[in-house]
Amino acid sequence: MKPNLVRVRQTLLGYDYAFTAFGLLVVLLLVAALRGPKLFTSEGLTIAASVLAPLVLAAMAATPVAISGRGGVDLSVGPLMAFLNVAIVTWLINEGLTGVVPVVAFALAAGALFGLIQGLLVSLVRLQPVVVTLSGFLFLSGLANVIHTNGSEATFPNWLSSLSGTTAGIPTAAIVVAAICLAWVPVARSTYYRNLRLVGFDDRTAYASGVNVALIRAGAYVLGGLLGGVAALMLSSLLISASPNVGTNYTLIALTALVLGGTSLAGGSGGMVGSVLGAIDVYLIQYALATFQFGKSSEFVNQVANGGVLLIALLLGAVAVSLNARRRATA
Amino acid sequence: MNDSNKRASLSSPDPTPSTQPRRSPGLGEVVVTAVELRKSFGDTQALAGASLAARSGEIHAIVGENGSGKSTLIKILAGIYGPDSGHTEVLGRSSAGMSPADILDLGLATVFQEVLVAEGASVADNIFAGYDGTFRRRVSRGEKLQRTGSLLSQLTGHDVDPTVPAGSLSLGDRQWVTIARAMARAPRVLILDESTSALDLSGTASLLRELERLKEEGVCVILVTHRIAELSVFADRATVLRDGATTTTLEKSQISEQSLLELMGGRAPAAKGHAASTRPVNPEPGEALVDASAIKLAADAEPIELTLRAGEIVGLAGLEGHGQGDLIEVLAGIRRPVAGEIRTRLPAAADGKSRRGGIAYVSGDRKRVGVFPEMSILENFGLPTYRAHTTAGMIRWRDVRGALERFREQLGLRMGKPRASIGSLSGGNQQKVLIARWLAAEPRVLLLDDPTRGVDAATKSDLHGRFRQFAREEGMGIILLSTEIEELLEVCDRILVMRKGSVAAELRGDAGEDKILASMFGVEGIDDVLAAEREATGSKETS
Repeated sequence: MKPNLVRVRQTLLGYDYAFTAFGLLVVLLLVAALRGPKLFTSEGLTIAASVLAPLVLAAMAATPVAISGRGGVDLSVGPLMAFLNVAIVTWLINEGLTGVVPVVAFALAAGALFGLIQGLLVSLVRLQPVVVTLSGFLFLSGLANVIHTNGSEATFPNWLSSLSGTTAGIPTAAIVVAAICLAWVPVARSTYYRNLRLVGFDDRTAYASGVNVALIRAGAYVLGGLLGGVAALMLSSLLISASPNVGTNYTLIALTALVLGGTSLAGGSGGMVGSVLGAIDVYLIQYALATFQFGKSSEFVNQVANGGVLLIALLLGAVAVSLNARRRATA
Repeated sequence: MNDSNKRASLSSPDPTPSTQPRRSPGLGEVVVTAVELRKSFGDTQALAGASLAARSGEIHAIVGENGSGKSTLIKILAGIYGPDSGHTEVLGRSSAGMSPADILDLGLATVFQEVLVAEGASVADNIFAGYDGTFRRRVSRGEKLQRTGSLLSQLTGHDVDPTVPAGSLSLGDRQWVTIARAMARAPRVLILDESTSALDLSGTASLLRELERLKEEGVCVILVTHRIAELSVFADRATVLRDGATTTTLEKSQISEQSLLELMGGRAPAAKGHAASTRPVNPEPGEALVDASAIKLAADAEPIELTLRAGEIVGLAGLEGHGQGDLIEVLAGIRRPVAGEIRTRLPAAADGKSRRGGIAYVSGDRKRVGVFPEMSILENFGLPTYRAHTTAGMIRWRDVRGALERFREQLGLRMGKPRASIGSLSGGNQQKVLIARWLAAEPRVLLLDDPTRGVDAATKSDLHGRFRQFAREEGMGIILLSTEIEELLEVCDRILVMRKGSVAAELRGDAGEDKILASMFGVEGIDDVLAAEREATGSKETS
C-alpha cells in the first residue's frame, strides 16, 4: 500500500504546475452548482462540451509552442482556427466535398503545414516566435476574410454538426476532446517530448549535448498546428457557418488558459493537463458570470474577470513558490 | 559528410591536412587533429593559426592566458563553431561542417567552460541530454535514473537525487552534472574546458583520478585548466597557445610550472607567491565597516560573528557547499540570513550621486550573475556608474569610455572596440570587465566571490597586488572568497574557514596551507584526504 501511495504522490507532484488551475476548477464547479445547476443536466453538459471543445483544443494547441521555449507564444492559434473554419466551408463544403475524410484530412494537413512554416521560421531562420506568430495572426485573420464569400452556404454535413450533439448519451465534443487527450499521452511520454522540454528549458545546453534543437522546436509548431486543425473542426461544428472574425478571441482565451494552467512562457515547464484545466476554468468563469444579470456589459465583465483571475492565480503561484523556498531554507 | 563536401568547406585549402603517419592502432594513435585554425568574432580574432594533435591514452593539456583562444579551439573541435579556415579531424574523420550531435556520435564528448545545465530539467534528463535520438530512446527511464545515481555518487562522493531539477544543485554539483553527461557517452575523446574551476579541492582530486583511469583505458583526455600546478603533475603533453596561435607542444619531460608560464606569457612568470610566512599581515586595521552579528545561514548552523575593518582583507575558505558562498551573498544583501543582523558603517554611501563608498560584489559566476551577454563591453562596464557620468540625465559616453580605457590598461584587458559585444571576449577578460565595473564605483567594501575563477596566472597575481593596494592605500575592506587556498594565503590578513554553515576556524593570513585544509575537512578527516591526494598524484609517478 505504502509504495503505491508514494507513487501516487510522485505522479501528482509531476503535475504541481497545474495545482492552481485545479483548485480554481473545484471552486468554480461549486459556484456553478450553486448559481446555475442547469450546467449539470444532460442538456447543459452537451452545450458546455461543445462550447468548451474548441476552447480546450486551442489552449492545447498553444502548449507545445510555449514549452519549446525562446518565448514561444502562439498568437496565431485563433486565426488559424477561424481561417480553417472559413476554408472548410468555402473550399470544401460549398464545393460539395462534405465527406469525413477530405474535411478532416484538410484541417489536419493545413494546420500542420502552417505550423511547419512557422516552426521553420522560428527554428531555422531564428526569427523571434512572437514576431512569427504575430505575422501568422495578421496574415490568417486577413486571409480568412478575403476568402470568405457571403454567398449562400451549402448545408453543413450531418457528421460535422453532430459533433456538437451526443453519442450514447455522452456529449460527442467531450468524446473528441478525451480522444485527443488520450492520443497526447504517448506523445507526452515519448523521447521527442523529453527532448522538447530540454530544448525549452535551455536550448544552449541541449544543442551542446547533441540534441537536434531545430528539428525538435519546429516539431512543436507542427503539433500545435495539428491540434489547431482539430480545434477548427470543433469550432465549425459549434458555429455551423463560416465565421472569419472569431480568431482574436480564441487566441486570447487560449493564452489565458495556458498561463492559468501553469505553463511557463519561458519554456520547458508546464503541460497539457494545465491547459485543459485552465480552459475549463475560463469557460466556467464565463458561465458563472452569465448567471448574474450584467446585460449589455456582460462581455466586458468577462474580460475583467479573466484578467483578474489570471493575475490572482499567478500571484498565488508566486507566493506558493516563495513560501516553499522559505520552508526548504529553514528545514 | 562525403569527400567533396569536406573539401568545399575548407575555405583555405591546407597543404598538410594532418596526414601525419598514424601509428599502428592502439595506444598513442593521433585521434584529434586541428590544423591552422582561424576564427574571428567581429573585431576580435580569437584564433590565428591554432594547431593540435592529441593521441589516445594521453592527458593532453591546452594552456594559455586568457584570450589566447583555448575555449574557441575547444568549441570548434566540439562542433559549436565552424572555423573561418583550417581543418579538424576526429578519430580519423574530417569533422568539418559537423554538428555537435555528429561529433558526439563520432566519440568526442566535451565539458564546456560554461556550466551548461538546463536548470528546470531533472538531473537525469540533463545527464542523458542528447543521448537518445530525436524520437528513439536508447536507454529506459529506469536505467537512466539508476546510471545517473551511480555515476554522480561515484564522482561526487555523495548521493544526488536524479529526479530533482538540476537548478536546485550547488554550482559544484551542477559542474559534476556536465562532467557526468560527457562521461555517460563513454567517449573515446574527452575534452574538459576549465572543468575543475567550480570544484573544490577534493572534487578536483577525484576528477583527476577519474581522468587517469580513462587514460589507462585508452581514452584521449584533453584538459584545459589554469591550475598549472595540477598540469605539471598530470599532463603527458601540453600544447601552448598564445594570441590564438599554437606556440609549441611540450612533451612530458619538458612540462614544468616555470616552462608553461614562460611560454604562455612570453615572459618570466610573475614573482610567484610571496612565501606566505614572509608576507606582512596588516597588524592594525582601521574602523569597522561592516558588522555582522549572530548571522545564521541555516536554522541548525552555529551563528557567525564577523567584523570587517578598513584596510584589511578577510578570506573565506571552505569545502564547496559549506556556507561560504551563502555568507558572502548575505553580506552583499543578495540573500537574507535565517537569523542575525548586519550593520554597515559607510558614511559616504548616501551621497546619492554614485555608488561611491558603498559595497560592491563581484562574482566569479559570470554566466548567472554579472555579465549581460548581449550588451556591449562598454555598457557592461558602465552600468552601475552611469549616474556619475550624466548631464541632465543623459549619459556622457565619452567619460564612460575614458574610464574604461583607464581600467583597460590597468587590468590588461584584451578587447576589440568598446562597443563590441562582451560575448566576444574570453571568459577571463569578461571577468576583468566585471571587476573594472565595480572598481569604477569606488566602493569602500569589496566582496569578491571567487573573482579570479578562470583567470590566468599573470592577471591573477596582478589582481592580487591590486586587492592589497586597495586595502592598504585606499582603506577598503575586502572579503575574498576563493576556492584556491594559495590565493587566500597570498592576499588575506586573516582567513575564516567555513564548515557546515558556520565559521570553523579563524586563522591568520600567514597560517600554513595544512592548517586551513585541516579546518576545512574537520581535523580528523585531513589525513585521509591528504592520503587520497597523494595516492592520486602518486599513481602517476609510478606508472
